Amino acid sequence: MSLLNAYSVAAAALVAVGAYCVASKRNLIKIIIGIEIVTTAVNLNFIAMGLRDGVLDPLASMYAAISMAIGAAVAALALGLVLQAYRHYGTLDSSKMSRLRW
Amino acid sequence: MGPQDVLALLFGSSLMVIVADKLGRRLGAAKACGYVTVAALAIALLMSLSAAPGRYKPLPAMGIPVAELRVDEASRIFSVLFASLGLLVAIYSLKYMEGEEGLGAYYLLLLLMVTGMMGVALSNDLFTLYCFWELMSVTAYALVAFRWWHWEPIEAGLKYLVMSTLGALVALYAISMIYGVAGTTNFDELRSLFTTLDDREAIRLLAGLLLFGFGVTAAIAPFHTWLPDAHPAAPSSISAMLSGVVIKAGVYAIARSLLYILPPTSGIGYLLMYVGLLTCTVGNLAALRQLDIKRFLAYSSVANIGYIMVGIGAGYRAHLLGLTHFALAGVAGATLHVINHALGKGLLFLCAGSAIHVIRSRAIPDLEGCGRSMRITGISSAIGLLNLAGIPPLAGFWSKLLIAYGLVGMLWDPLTTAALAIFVANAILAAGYYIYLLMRLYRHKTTGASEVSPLMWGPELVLAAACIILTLLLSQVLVHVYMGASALMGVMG
Repeated sequence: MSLLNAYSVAAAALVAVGAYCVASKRNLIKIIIGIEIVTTAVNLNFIAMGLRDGVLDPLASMYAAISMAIGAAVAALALGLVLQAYRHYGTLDSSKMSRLRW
Repeated sequence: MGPQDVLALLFGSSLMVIVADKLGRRLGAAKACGYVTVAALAIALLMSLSAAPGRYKPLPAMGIPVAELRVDEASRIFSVLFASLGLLVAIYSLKYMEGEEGLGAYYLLLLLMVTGMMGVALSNDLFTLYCFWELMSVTAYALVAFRWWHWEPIEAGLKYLVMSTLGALVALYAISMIYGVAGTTNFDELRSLFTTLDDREAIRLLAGLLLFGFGVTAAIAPFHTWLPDAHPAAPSSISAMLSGVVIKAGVYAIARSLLYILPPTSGIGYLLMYVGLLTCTVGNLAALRQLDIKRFLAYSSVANIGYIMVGIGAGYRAHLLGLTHFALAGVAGATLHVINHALGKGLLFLCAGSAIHVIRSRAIPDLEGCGRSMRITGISSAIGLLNLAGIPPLAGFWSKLLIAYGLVGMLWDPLTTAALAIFVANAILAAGYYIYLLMRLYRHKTTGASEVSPLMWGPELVLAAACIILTLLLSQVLVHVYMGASALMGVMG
């Protein structure tokens, strides 16, 4: 059982990229792109973990498919909120939206 | 009747809410969707009370090997708590949300949020738990941002969404690695597989990822920052749900995955204990400087999650050292505190909602004296405050005592002694500011506030009565809580 294959390494790298994107970007759309990258990375990791001797466990592809649907729901809600935020503030810069602090 | 019937009922009635909303608006009965929600939650509460313990496979015929559900003493305590608070909040909303835009969407989201929480408590499979977790989270984000025409709910909702989604994804990443190691996500199979696994480093990594993943929604420090923003922005009924039960679903997921699935590993017990202490210290200190009643209550929820995490950490560490008696005391104290805090904080948010509804201000100085003019709300909130302050005869005292007792078994260890000292100091500080808030609410001052409608004070009175009944029946409650703790840890008590 080799859990450390090319796919799982790529997934770990994508998680890092997505987390960096969420942490460092100020544009709300870019933050959501970061979340989507992490979602994709986790889906890829399910596939990587389901690979046993070159054969894919159907459970893994089912997990990835369901997780994609959930990710789409979250993305839709997030974009809706970003749209409303843009209407309120006239900007997508998250650092301008800091009225809520302490 | 099994847990799948409860979940099917809740999903089915969420469709009925849509129909009732469309029909009701045409017939001039805008509240019809609210009545459907109340009825569905009442039936779900009765069904989850009567569900027999065991494992259930609702989808065997389709050849799907996952989606297994379970009922044991712990998941029953949590699911009954979720359903009953959901029911009371739905009744409260009938009056509180009257005349708002989009009532159909509100009740639909509320019902689906309760469904998600029940699913979290009843699932016996990590991926099923994640699906219900996201159902709960997504509806919670939408409910926080329900009054989208103001800037505050949108900003708070976005902050909550970004933080909590990242947390859930970290947890899902850990779940995918668990699946890779074990080839399954079933709780019982994982438990037996992991006891034979010797790789402590891997287990430590997985436990850390799961703790921080689920911990964002459970509002453990330093990931608690969404909570004090989300609570004031949401409608008060939703604040009661968030503080009362949504963060408890996070606690349940942490307790279930760390105590039941993964074998005890050194280091994680300290991590849980000290994360808990950090959480309650941050919560208590930040609560001191709040002038907004809902922010105050939100920070005190952070503090209470801290106590619960200390209890779980004490149980974890005592279990690792083989001190089953103290381990059970710690986890049972945490479970009892979950019940106490769900009832007490739900009650306080509903009372705050009533007072804000009448006075139209969230500032504590404006609310002074309303305990005298709003009698039933005042008395209910007094009971809630005293319960959470841990004034001795009330149940809030005994849960903190049990958590402290869980720590007492390891007093030879200086780190645990320090933890006990910080814990007790926090409990005393919290008691101080709760009593201070109570005195301000009962200050002599004319407010012109009058009591709200029975649909709003009714749920408050029920929750206040529940706090007292919990105290009167403490011996029976303790038996159930201990059974819940042993089910959560998978040990015989």
